[in-house]
This record gives sequence, structure tokens and C-alpha cells, in this order.
Amino acid sequence: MVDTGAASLTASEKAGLDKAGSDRIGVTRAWVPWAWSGFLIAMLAFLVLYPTSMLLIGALTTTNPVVEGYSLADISIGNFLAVVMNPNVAAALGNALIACAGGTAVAVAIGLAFAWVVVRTNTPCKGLIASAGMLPLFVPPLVAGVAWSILGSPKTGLLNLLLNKAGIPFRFDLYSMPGIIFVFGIYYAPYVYMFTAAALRNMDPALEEAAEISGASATRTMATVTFPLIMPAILSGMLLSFVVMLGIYGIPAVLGAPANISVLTTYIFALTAWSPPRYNTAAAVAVILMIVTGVLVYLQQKIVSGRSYTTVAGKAFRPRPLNLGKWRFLTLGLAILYLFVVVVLPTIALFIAAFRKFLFIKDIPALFEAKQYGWQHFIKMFDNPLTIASIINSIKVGIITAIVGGLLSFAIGYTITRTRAPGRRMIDVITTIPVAIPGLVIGVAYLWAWIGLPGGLYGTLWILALAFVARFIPDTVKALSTSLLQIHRELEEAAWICGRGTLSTIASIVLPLARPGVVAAMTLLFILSMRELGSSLFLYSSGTMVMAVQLLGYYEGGNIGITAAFSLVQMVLLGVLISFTNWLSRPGRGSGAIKPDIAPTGVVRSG
Amino acid sequence: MYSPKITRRQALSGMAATGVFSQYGPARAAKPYDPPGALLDAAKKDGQLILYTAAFPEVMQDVISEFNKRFPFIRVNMVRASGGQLITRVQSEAASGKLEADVLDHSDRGQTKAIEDLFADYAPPNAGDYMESALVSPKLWPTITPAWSIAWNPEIVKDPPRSWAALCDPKYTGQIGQVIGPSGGTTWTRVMFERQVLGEDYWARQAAVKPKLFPSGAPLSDAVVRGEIGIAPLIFNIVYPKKQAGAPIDAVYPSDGVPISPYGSGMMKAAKHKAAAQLWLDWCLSDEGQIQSIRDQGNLTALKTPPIAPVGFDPARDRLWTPDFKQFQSLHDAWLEDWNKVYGYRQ
Repeated sequence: MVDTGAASLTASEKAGLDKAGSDRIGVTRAWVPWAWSGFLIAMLAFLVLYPTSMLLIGALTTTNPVVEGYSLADISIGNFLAVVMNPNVAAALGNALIACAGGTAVAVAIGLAFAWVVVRTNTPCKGLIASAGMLPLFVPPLVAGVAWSILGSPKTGLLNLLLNKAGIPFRFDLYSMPGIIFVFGIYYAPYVYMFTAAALRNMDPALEEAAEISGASATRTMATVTFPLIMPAILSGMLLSFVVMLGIYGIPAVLGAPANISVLTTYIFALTAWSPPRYNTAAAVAVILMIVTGVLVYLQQKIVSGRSYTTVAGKAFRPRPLNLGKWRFLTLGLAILYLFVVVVLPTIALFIAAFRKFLFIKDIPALFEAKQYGWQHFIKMFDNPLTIASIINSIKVGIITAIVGGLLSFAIGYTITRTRAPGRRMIDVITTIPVAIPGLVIGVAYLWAWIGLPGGLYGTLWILALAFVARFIPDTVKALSTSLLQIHRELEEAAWICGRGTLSTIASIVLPLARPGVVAAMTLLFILSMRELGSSLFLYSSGTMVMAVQLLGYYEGGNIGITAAFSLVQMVLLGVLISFTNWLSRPGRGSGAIKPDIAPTGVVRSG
Repeated sequence: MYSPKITRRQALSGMAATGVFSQYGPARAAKPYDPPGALLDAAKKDGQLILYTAAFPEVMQDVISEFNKRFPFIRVNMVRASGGQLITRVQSEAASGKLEADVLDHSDRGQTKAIEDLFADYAPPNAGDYMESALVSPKLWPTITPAWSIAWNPEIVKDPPRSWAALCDPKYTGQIGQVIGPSGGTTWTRVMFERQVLGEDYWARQAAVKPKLFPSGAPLSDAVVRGEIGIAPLIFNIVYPKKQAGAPIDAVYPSDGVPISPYGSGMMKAAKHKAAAQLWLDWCLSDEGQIQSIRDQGNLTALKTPPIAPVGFDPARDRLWTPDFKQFQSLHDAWLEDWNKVYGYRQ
């Protein structure tokens, strides 16, 4: 995945980079690069390969490898055969592919339009639209599912109550495949936006101008020049959003269950929740999901590395925004409508659920009965000592994850993109593996892999942090690699010529210049670790309850009021964090944060 | 409509024993719980215990608060997970010598029985007060005894069913929600009761009214409160707190039998806070603890005679049903496979 940026360099830049890197290694002791690569591979083996191998062993046996142990004699493909021949797995796979393909189509339509409006038109308030449009990325999928079930349930949904009040016979039914597709589409449109906005921003407008001079209309220019030019970015965003949707549990769990629509993730969760649980079968299903995801990630890499930078030229340019005239207010209206649907409506639903005593709303007048509202869910939530403990623990583990993960990702990103260290391609490949493993299953793999470690790691916040670092390492390495590739090689070369060593050059040149990317990657890690459920479920202990597990506990406890209240608390915390990092990134502060033009590098995923 | 085929052996075993119907004995005064001084001192020294539970965290937090009113010097640290996940965690931790739990609370006695060797020898002071049908091992005790009821939303259902038989009435078609059979030990108890007591064809008759299937009772209870579902068989302890808080939900114990699913809880052999764990279990199983469970949580009790009258339960009319434990284990897989087919649940 990190070849993304490398491909953006011109051939001469690449040659220069390789030569400089080669020269650099030449002056370093010969064993140092080997030792360094060995160290990184050992770290990745512990964090990624070992748990993954436990997952494969689980899929190939019928026992808990920690309890009963395993030997080659136990290995069989029985689980796989059972899974492959089970028509319910085929149905879940079919549903997953339909939901993700449909969701991707919606995401592309919205994301592309959004990117075009923000980057290539003179629509007013573009900055605000761009920032607000990213918000869905930070809403946990379970929360999104709950919010949309409150809005779009066929029987009791608030939207349907409004339609009923207005005398309109049409009813929304979010408990359906189209419902899942719609919610997938609107929540993952920012992925497509991130990729296509970056491509549109970097595109030389000369070809568009040529088309216009030749008499092509704006629409024709867009259809025949603009979009084909950024097609690699569109395909990349499509594949990424498809892969991410494939691993999401919360949305299909809430919206699919009432309609008996099972997808692969909900099927895996059911396997782990049944009594007795079927982890080995779940592991086998997860391996199938990994294969599908792996193929798609490979395709994404091929596309990105093959074509995505053909629009980047060597000369400076500034894309000219299209003057839409009066139509700019239409695009503004559409953008506001999108934000209203994606941000405002679900937030209103969560507020109603969080402050209303019970979510039985007979009709619209009943919605406004003041006596039905109060702070009771918040009071009960904060009466529970685990609520505060989970918030504190999540913040602690988020900080540890951000620091440890940030350091490791920087080390890996630097090694892959700016050195010719041996085995760097292998490091790159291993780093990508966690993208393909569904979070619901990786949790038990971490437990199986790490519970036997000597020392007091198990039961501490550190084991959670390690799991989060491992799980999100592809995201952060990718974020940092792109940032690192933006720093011209000659700056390092100048430092070397001045007699600086490698570490000194990194500290004085690379790190300060890459600081925006580092801060963005660490912020991303913090946010992801606050949301991560799958790997927390098996690793938290009596003293390390975290927010995602507590949220699931409230949801599974059937108390939608407290679930909504806790979701709001989580969203406020994340909002404060994002605001803080945005403040850090303001001009003059010399740092960076999650901004729409940096975000393409991050992959916000978790079930 | 699929109709379950049972083997001759299953039929014979089904006829041999089909669970135990029982009724509570005459009312009696509750006995106070006074722990021995030595236990109290040792528990104070422990200062804490670690509780692994499959019960809902909110419910257990209330139990912990009540316990702490009596014994404020014990900090109860809770780890909550769904039944299957909890067992996997316990097994993995125990195999690695890192079992953290002092007490394990679990709704599926079949699963705790399967890991019986991880439990310490333990019996509460009032062991003789408990129904024999609720005990499956000398190490496992029914700290909590949930019972099945039929719940409905009174805002949208004006003529609710009051028996299991009524849940098959075609007039309720499309209004009923059901928890899936493989959900856990409590649901498996209900599923056994339906087939063994209400008839071999009960599932088929009930499935004919097209119930909506839910993964567990908690989201189903929420769906009833929201009006998404009109009627649902639910564990009374999920309904009761909501009803007490004023939610539009009501429930009755069915007139044709009340399946109960006593927990299989115990002290772990590897417990690091044995005295605190014993104090917790003794209190939970004492009349005092059971009163709290009945009065505040809406549970029944596996005591032969309840120390207070359970809410909504008529001891003269309502009959408790406990499954035969051997069948609870032996029929599990085959019958649930049948259930899945009858109800069209994909597994």
C-alpha cells in the first residue's frame, strides 16, 4: 500500500532517491541495515504474523489452541469444507457482496460529486462543507446503525412518523438490503471523497482547458476528460470503501437483523456468540473474508501504483475552479442536504434517544412532550463506575497506542520509503496484512497468541495498546509514508553532506518536516483505538474496561437510551480531540492534523 | 413446514424424563445473613474480588451496589461478556495459568458444568434450602434464577396472550418476536420446555405465526418498548426494571408453565481472593441476596420456598419447570438444529 506515493515520483526523482539511499547505506556499517530490518520484521512477526498464524491454526483445527494445544495431526480442512458447503455462509457472502457493492456505488456517486463541488467549483463555504463531510468517518458503525434504526424503522421510525403526519403514504424501511446499502453509502462516501478530492486537486487543468477551447460543454468535459483522468483514484476509493464495508459489523447488525439479513461479519459474530461458541468455524469464515479482502487490496495496490499519478506533472499549476454562476447555490444546497442527512439527522436521533425516557413515540405530538425528556440516562450511565473507568482507560490506551504506534509506524514508513534496507518489501507486505483480517475474529487470535507470554502483560492496558497498534499499523504506515514521500530527498542529502548521521538527519530534517503527517497518524491511531471493539473484547480485564466494550454492553443490555447517551459522550470526546488537533494544525503552529487533504492516507475502519 | 424428526433414542429419552414441574413451598420468614467473623476478617483482608459474569452489566452493577451496602470494604471488579465469549476467555486464561476470576457467574449450566474442574469446592451455608432440580454440581450454585414470561407493549396490544399456547394463535401473526434457540442456556431451556411440555408440534405451530427472530432478549425487550414488536416471550428480569421505570411494557408468567434457568455460578479454584469470593457467593445465595434478586431484578429463586413473594408470581397457580439436566446436555445440538429448521433460522 505504501507504494502509493513512490509511484508519484518521476523516474528521475526515483533514480536519484535510489542512488542517494544506496550511497547512504554504503557509508553505513554493512550489518546495520540488516539488523534494523531484522528488528522490524521481528516486531511485525510478534504483532502481526504470530496472531495471524494462530487464526489460521484455529481455522484448520477444531480446538482452542491455547486450551487443548495443537499438532500437525489435528490439522484438517474440515472447517473450510463445512463452511464452503454451508448454504448459509454462501447466503451471508452473497448478501455481503450485494450490500458492499451497492454501498460502494452510492458512496462513489456521493463522494465524487462532493469532491468535485469542493475542489473544482466556486461553491460557497467549501471549507466548512469539506470538514463537516468528514464527520461520518468518526462515528462508530454501531452508533450509525442505532441512529438510523431510530430514524428509519418501518414501524416506529421518526421519518415515518413525519410522513404519516404529512399524510404521505410512502414509508422508509431501513431494515432492508436497500437500507443497509444506503447507510453504507452515506457513511463511507468520505473514502471516495478523500481519494478523488486529492486527485482533482493535483490534476493539471490543461486538458480540461483544451476540451473547453475545442467547444466541449462543461458536462462533456467532466465526463470525457476530468473523470477519466482521475479514474484510478475513483477505482482506488471504490475498492477501499468496498473492503472497509466488508469488515463492518455494526450497521448490518442493527439494520439487517430485524429483516433476517445476514452478512459475513454478522455471521461471524453469531458464531462467536452462540452457545457454545464456534470460534474455529468463525476463524474459517474469517479466512474466507481475508481472501476476498486480500484480493481486493491487491487490486487496489495495482491500480494505485499503476496509474494514479499520470495527472501529476512536473510544472506548477493551480486548478481553476469552475464558475458555476447561480448554480453554485444549487451545489451548496445539495452539499447542505447531504450534511443534513449524514450528520444532522442521525445526531438529532441520538439526542432524542439519549434524553427521552423511552423511545416509544406514538406520533409527532408525542415527540414534543417535554415531560418525556430528562437526564435520566446520563445520570444512570455516570452512576455506573465502569463508565468513567472506561473513558479514562480508553484515553490512556489511546495515548499509549498513539505514541507506540506512531513511533513504530514512523520507523516502518521511513524504512520502506526512504531507505534501501534489505527486506523492506517484505516489511511492507506484512504491514498490510491486518487490513484483511476482520476485527471480530482478530480479538480471539490476539488472546490465543499473547495470553501465554511471560510477564504481566496480559490484563494490562499495554496489551490492548499492542493489539491496536498491530490492527491499525497499515493505516498509520500508509499515512506516514505519503507524508514522508512529500519531503524531497535533497534536504536529507544536504544534511549528510554537512556531516550529519542518519539518526541526526531524521531528527533534524525528516521528523520536523513530516510532523504534520506524524501528528495526523497519531491522531488517527488515537481515534481508532477509542472506537475499536473487536480486539478489545477478549483482551480487556477487570481493571481495563474500555469505551467500545462498555458501549456494546449497554447495547446488548437492551437500553437504547444509555447506548445513545454513551455514543454522544464518545462523539463529543472525539470531537474535542479533532478540534484540538485542528487547532494544533492552524498556520503558525507548525503542526498538522486530520484534514481532508491528509486524510486520504488514513483508513478509518473497525467493526 | 418442516416437522422435526426425532430418533427412537431421543423419543425414548424424552419420554423417560421431561423436566421437573415444581411449586414453591408455603411462605416463610427470611433468615438474616450473618457471616462468621473469621470469614469477614479474611474478606476484609482480601479487600476485593474479580467477578466474571454473563449477566448484563447494569443488572450486576445494581447487585454489586446492594452487596456493598452490607460490605463496603470489598471492591467488586466485574468482567462482563456474552456466554460463549466468557467461557472461551475462562478456558484460555486457565490454560495459561492466568485466570483472573474469583467468581464465575453463568446462565448456561451446561457450559459451566463442562469446565467444572476449574471450580473450587464450595457450598453456601443454606445449601439444603435449594431445589435439587436446580443443582447440577456440588460446585455450582444458582445465584440468579431467571424465569420466562410473556411480555407485550400495552400501547399497541390490547388483548395480550397469557399462555404459551396462545402464542400460536393466528391472530398474533406478525406481532411476535422470539429469541433464537442457539442464543444461550436460558433460551435453550425455553426451547426444551416448548417441545417437551407443549408438544412435538409446538414449534411448527408457533413458527406459523411468523415471529421475528432476535439474537438475544435485551434488544428484543427494547423492540417491545419501542413498539417495533408487540409481543415477545422474555425473561422477566429484562422486563421488570423497564416496567418499574414506567416503560410501556408489561408481562405475565404463562399459565401453562414457567421455565426457569438457574445459573451455574461458583468460586474458581485459582481464586486469589477466596474469602471475598465466598462472602459474595454466600450473600448472593442467602435469603438476603435472593430477596434483592427477586425484589430489585425481577428474578425468581431456586430456593424451595422464596423468602418474599416474587412480583407477579402466584405460587398457588404458577408452576416452575426445570429441565432434566442430562437431557439439557444430550439433546442440545440435535434439537437446536431442528429448531433452526422449523423457524428458518440460518446457522
